[in-house]
Amino acid sequence: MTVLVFSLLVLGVSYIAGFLGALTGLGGGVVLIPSLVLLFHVNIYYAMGASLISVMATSSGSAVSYLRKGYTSVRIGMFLEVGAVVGAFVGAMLVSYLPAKAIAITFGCMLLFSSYLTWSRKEDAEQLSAPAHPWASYLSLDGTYPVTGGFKNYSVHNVPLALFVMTIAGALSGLLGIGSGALKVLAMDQAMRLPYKVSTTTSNFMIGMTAAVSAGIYFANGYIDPSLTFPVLIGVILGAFTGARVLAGMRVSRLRKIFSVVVLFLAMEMIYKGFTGTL
Amino acid sequence: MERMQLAIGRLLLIGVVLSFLIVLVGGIGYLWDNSNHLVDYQHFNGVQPSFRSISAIMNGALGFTPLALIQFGILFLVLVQLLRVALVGWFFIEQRDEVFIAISAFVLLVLIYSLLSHF
Repeated sequence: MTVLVFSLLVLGVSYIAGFLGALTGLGGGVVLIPSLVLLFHVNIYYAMGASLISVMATSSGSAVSYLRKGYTSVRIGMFLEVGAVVGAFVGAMLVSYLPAKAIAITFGCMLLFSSYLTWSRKEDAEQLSAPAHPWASYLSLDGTYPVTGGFKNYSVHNVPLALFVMTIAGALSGLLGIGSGALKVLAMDQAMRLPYKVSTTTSNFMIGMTAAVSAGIYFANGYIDPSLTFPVLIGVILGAFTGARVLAGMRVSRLRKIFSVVVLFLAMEMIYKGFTGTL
Repeated sequence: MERMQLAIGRLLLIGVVLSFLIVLVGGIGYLWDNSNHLVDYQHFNGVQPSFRSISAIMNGALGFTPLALIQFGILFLVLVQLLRVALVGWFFIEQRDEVFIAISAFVLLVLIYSLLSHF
């Protein structure tokens, strides 16, 4: 197809990815890479490059709104980022050593996992009545977040486990060119027991920094193609800004279920294509 | 803490908007020249060397050719991520929070190192 048609279609798909990404705490890469690879027949490395940049944009764009509203915990985000950047550094180093088929299959498995997580995520994880983890107290990670009529406290648990999961999330981010939002949210939701909106927004906050670690290597390896990345970036930014505006007033549970099913299908296709080598 | 949140938010907003505009200008220029060409992203050959290193991208941007401009806009977005970590670190310095100053410094160092060592 022509450059113009291609760019407009990619823009549209990216808009959706950015929008969903902002709403679900994922980076959008889980939708973007399979769409580019399966629908548009883009080589997986170019798709990874475009995706990496787009998750940076989603993260930054939606963080603007979430920070202002007071949902994001900068302290928790920065602390966990220590693990994430180490993981991302290692992951990005490994990416050129892994054959494309392996990347596709790993990616597909990651999608399966994301699909499952997104489906089964409860709207508000019950706050444990147990006291916060000692690390959380030492680092003053506990905080408050806005609810209708004021602020609600939350305490933070299982800090070392969350840090470990973040390191894995970072490695996958570097290896696959994604934001690893699903894993980040998992660590914060399930391990740390943070409220839903705090996990989602803090995950979004972190993703951009993690992705930037891999950027240097992706640039150097030639994965980032400007003509492809341009419609992706424009679409994703527009989508993320729109999505972030909408989050506070939205019941995202049905959206997440739909998203989860879509991701499931994409996962199966990616794994299939990876195995049969038609990438 | 509120000040920090708002300041980071403002930085990100300016950064994203600038990156968006640079990429948009470059993109429109690219479409203007190429709208009827056919796309083929199936084969991976790696993009040209002038789009792969910081110095090359900066040089290219000065020529204001569309693709170079796009690549610069992308690089700019990456730099915004570094700036945001630096800004966070700055606020922790203000708050004299030693642990978090160290955390921010570590994250920033990893970012800088990974960018410079591959460019």
